[in-house]
Amino acid sequence: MAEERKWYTGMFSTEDWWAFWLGTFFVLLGIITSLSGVDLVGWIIKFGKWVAIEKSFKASHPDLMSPVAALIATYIILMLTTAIGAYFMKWDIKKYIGAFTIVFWLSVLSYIIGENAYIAATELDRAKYGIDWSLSLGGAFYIMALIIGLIIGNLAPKGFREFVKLGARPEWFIKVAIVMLGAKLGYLAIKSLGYAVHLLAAGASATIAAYLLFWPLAFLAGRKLFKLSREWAACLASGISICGVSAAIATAGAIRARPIVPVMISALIVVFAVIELIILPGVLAAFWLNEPIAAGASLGLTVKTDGADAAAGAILDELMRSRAALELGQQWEEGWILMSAVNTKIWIDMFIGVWAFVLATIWVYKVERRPGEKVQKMEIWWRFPKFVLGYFLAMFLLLFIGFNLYPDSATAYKALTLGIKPVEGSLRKFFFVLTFTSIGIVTDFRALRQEGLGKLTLAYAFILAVIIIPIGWLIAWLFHMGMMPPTVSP
Amino acid sequence: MMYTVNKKDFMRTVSFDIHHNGKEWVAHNDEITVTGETLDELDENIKLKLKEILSEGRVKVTMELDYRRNVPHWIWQYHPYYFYRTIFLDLD
Repeated sequence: MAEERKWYTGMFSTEDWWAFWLGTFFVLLGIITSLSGVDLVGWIIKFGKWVAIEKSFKASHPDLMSPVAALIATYIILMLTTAIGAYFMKWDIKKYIGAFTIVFWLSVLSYIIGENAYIAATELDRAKYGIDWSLSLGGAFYIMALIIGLIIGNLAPKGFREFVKLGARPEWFIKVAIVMLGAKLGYLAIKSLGYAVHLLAAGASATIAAYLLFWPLAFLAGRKLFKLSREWAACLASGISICGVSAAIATAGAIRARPIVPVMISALIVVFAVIELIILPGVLAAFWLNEPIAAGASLGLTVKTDGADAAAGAILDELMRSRAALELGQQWEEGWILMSAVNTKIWIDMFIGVWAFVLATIWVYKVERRPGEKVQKMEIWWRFPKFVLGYFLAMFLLLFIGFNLYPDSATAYKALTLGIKPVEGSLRKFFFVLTFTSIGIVTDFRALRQEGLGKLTLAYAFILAVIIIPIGWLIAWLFHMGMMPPTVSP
Repeated sequence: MMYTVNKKDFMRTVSFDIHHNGKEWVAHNDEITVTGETLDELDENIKLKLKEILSEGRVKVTMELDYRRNVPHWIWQYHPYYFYRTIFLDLD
């Protein structure tokens, strides 16, 4: 039965809202643990570098349970909580649990292999692990998860591939992780408030770049250079310059395009995002060590899905911190480079509703002049990414508690560590690994061979290389120049 | 029931699910199905159909794209909704 859409429509039936619910749930578990002392998060699995495999993982609070028990507890709790979401979203629950189970254990395998000391330990770490050589590949577990996912997504038999895709939900997983990242930002801001506010404000500049520079240039290039129709050029411009698949779909809906248009463009976006994810962190780490926060922010401007952006930010964070330790003798605090990458992207995401509303208004009232149709302001809310609410809620909750319930920030930081650290650290990182595995599984390079995608692929590659990446780097540098991550003692 | 009545302005509201079948837009609810190659044509055909069924006056028509029908499952996680159109038709 067709129904009128309400403000609360989708609250229990979309992954966006379920990212809010799940992310907030885990953050609340952390807060309750910190405030009450009742350990609700000690079960969270924590991986680490290893030489002897029995030391590759343990419970976040090892006194609570054994490593194997923590691994099983993490599997059961993540499976159950995401399955509750899947149930409300009316997915095939049995298939989801089966597919998620495969994604989970592949992620665990990737994490363990990638954290082997011979692969991951830096030169400075070697003595600690008693080894005399290592590849120094910080963040190798992310790459390992991506490779395993890509092998399944591109080489596994079709039936198996399609089945596993039911549990590989990169955007859902990364949005849950981003809510936890909000908790991390609030937690770190307790002792570095000015720096966190500076980072947030600088990140807002991303919206200026994405909406006012990228979009018109990309649209013009699509129309003039590649002779795309208005419908195709508008959706492509949004996808490549704003927030990827989400923007392509929102724009297509706003201009009342046929659904096939954003669906085809989306296939391109996810493939190019993975190519960027593989190339950009290495390039930025190699050439931009003197501007780590700008480098992170540039990812938010140039990598066009939340999953690939956060994934690229996580790799860049690992690579740059390793280089800084080795070459500059500085220990940069973990997470700030990643947060700058996510921060710019979140600002871009937040305004997609406003942008879609503007486009809908122009298209309905000016371009197509459709009589009788009214564009509703509620469009802005319907398109607003709800997981962002969770990100800011988590951040402000931590700040509120930190500044009001404790005598000083040092005491607050220490007291909150018990519950928040396992959530914003170990659990968030595991959701990142789930995201990497999932990105690999859903990225099908054969999509580029689809009929009719030739000109679009060329247009996408050209606009990305000539407009988005150079201008993105410039804007990121202009607004973040000189910002360095806070340092910590080794 | 063909329509609902808004409690504030007493306007009749007819709601449809809408999808694109590759050739044309299809708007349907439990009682009627209307098609059109373009949205303009669809709106016109809806107006003609409603004129046959309802009495004269102004009618609010809402159409929400059937997301699950037109957008592949892997895309749902990126953006949850496509469009929700509201048009006003004078059935005079």
